[in-house]
Amino acid sequence: MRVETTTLEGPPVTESSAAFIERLRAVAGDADVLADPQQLRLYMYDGSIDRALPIAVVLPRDAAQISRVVRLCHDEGVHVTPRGAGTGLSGGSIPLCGGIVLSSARMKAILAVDLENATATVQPGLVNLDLSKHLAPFGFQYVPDPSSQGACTIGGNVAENSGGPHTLTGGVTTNHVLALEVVLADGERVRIGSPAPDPPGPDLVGVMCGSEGTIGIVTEILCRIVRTWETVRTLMVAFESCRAASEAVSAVISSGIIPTAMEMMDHPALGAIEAFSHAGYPVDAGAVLLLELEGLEDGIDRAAQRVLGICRESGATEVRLAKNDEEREALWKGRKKAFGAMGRIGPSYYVQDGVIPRTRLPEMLDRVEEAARKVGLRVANVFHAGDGNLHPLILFDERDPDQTKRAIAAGEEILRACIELGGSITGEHGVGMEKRDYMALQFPPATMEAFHALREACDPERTLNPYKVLPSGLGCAEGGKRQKTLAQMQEMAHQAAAAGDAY
Amino acid sequence: MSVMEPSCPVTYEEAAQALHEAASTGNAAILGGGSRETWFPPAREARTAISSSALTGIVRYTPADLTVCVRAGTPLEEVQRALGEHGQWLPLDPHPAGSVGGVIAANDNGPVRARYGGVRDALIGVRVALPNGSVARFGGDVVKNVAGYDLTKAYVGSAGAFGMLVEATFKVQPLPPVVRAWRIEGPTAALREAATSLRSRELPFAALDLAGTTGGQAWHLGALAHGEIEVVDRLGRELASAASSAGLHADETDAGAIEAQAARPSRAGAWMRAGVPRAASLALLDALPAGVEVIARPSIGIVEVYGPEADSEALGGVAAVVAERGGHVHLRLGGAHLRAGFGWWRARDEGGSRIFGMLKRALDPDLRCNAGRTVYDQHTEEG
Repeated sequence: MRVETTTLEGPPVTESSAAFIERLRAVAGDADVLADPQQLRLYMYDGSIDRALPIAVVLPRDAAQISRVVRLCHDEGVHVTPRGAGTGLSGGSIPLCGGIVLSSARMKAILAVDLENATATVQPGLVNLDLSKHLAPFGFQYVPDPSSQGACTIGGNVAENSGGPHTLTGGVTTNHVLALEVVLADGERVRIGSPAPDPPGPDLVGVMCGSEGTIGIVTEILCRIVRTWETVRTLMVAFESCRAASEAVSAVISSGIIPTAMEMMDHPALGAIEAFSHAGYPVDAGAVLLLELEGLEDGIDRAAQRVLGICRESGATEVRLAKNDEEREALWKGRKKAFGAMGRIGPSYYVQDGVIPRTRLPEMLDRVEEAARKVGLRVANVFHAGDGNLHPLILFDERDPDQTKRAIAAGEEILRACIELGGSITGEHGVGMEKRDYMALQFPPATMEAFHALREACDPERTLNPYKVLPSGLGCAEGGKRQKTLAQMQEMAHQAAAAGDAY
Repeated sequence: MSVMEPSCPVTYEEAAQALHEAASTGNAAILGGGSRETWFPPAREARTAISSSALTGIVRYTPADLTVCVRAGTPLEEVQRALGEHGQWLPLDPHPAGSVGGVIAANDNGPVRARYGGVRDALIGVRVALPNGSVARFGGDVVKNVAGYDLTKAYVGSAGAFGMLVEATFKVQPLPPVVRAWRIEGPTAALREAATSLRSRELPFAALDLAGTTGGQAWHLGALAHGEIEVVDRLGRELASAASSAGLHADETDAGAIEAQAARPSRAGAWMRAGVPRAASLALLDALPAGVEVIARPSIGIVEVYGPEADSEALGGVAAVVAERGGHVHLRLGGAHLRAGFGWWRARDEGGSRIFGMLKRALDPDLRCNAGRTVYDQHTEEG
């Protein structure tokens, strides 16, 4: 984990980088290249705690332009970091060692909607929620709904294989992508997948989803869309403790009912959310479950009553069924804005997104609590309980280096616990920079070797989003010096390639 | 078809060791239980054959987690029996059922793909024996997992190109409390009208299979509903209404009838499976040569075309029609003449073979595993 503050001046502008930027302008078009330091500052952040400045930002308008830019960078040994809306939580869009940022901000068109075939063709910069808004009048929707869906892009979702509350039955991004157009590390454009089901050969679209911009840059996406369900029931259930709520989650699923969403918020989270969103959550509860059932009108009320009955048997202290769309939206607003609400109870939060088998939830939540207590920090939990996908928010003050260190230590302990309990270090936020050094804890050497070999096979020149996903033998964070000149960066890439080091 | 007697390792390590030894001397054929072996070209220049058929049994099953981990050679039917004891199932119903590893490697599915998706939607992790002698694990036991590359997906439809599948973990589902099936008989035009109306309303039928013989009159639409009683009743009413609008009548039938129908192609002499954008699946029926048997799944876009081996010639013309509609074809079974003329697939390659090559370099760098068994090897060979 690296959180040391970066020098914000950015890499020194050298003769070679100035000359490179000229060539970049020639290839990409002057109007689509930003190199003014003031403008570049906007591209040094994402939703994580790492920061780094690019030497230039390109805002391409089409795939051909992306291909030309990637080819130039590939030939000159300049890193390319693709970026959607920058809402990522693992540092995936941070241009760690400089290089250029390739932003999808100008490629946000819905190119086609085909209701007969239930597909939509979109550009990568399209904001997730804008697709569902566009489809709503036709009675269709795009299922993956990350909490940041009002800002995050579908291209970013493909890179991270993003989830969201409604992926419990609906599946995550990979389950809703049928075909992709991709620019590979050397600039070649390829199309994979098909609008027709089960194209022959290995599932290449599946490999591309979640590859965090390291295998290729997605330039067009054929999304699967679905008819919006006839009706929905949203339930809020309060419990005395997270343990009781977790047991209710397992009991509901064991009964054979799988709600489309099962979200949990613990006591510290509830206080903050309620103060921020006025969603109507009971702030004195130990935990609240937000459950949603979607389907045909027929039988849904009986299913909702069964779920409420099971929750009561598991010790629910309060149950509420949203009576109309307004009540439903209020309940969801609290959940979707939960991370933002944490500002009410702490200056900063550090969020993890480990996953464990659902039945290990009670044990895991104890471990989260213990990890935070050990370092003297508070933790709030807001998470996808049905999937076993945790989001512990460790509260700290990032201006205090000691607190920062302790927050990271607690985060690490939580990740270790997830692995011990048979889970994963990330369910939907991605590995990025943040968790790359934990990969080898989760996977055996044979798997890590295969991952490195794939990276090497896809991008031998180390052009695309380097220093992400996999542990680095030659990270540029080494020696505490984060920003490199272009020449230094090219030299490092060259050394890495020569050493056969993946990144 | 392999003429060699395959070795059948009984542990993952043995499998990896056997593959490593085989790969150090030449090409290896990686086999499953054999029920789908002739659907793919034979492994090129294989000097050794290794089968996962002795790697059987359930490794882990926690019903409350709705996940199951099994060895790759386990018959799918055995997995379904074990899950059934806890009121659950794996919603994959390919014919033949065969082994779990075979279902994954062939990316196979059956009628309920309409409601539950395919292999890629259920599979959450694999363990594989690699030609370097190691056993790697991709994915895991949890239903959401984005740590590292999702190489689990690479094994779906891989036909053994990336080493031997030795273990698989799936998301499973509660068994539906009520299962009901119907059959509507009638002229094709009226059946298609009913099927189109049901599809366009996106009603959650577990399966909709339109079956008959091109040019013939004896067509029927089979419909399957899974769910709580209210949902199944509603789907029954919707079906009756769609049938009656088309001047037809829906009769309740045994759920096994749809399965029996779906099993027919695998017993035919020649069998082509086409995938088209689903809206084209019914129009495709008009373009097929007369006298071939067909099962069309209009809600997903799968069209099975099959018949006695003598129909081989008629089947040969199907691929061009499918390609025009943006689809692809896999000739799963065919007589020697058809096979010689057609090969195995018709599918577009718009650069997928490049990514396939990258995966190959990463997982089987000496190109020893099942050389020539996937569509991408074929494209590569054809240049």
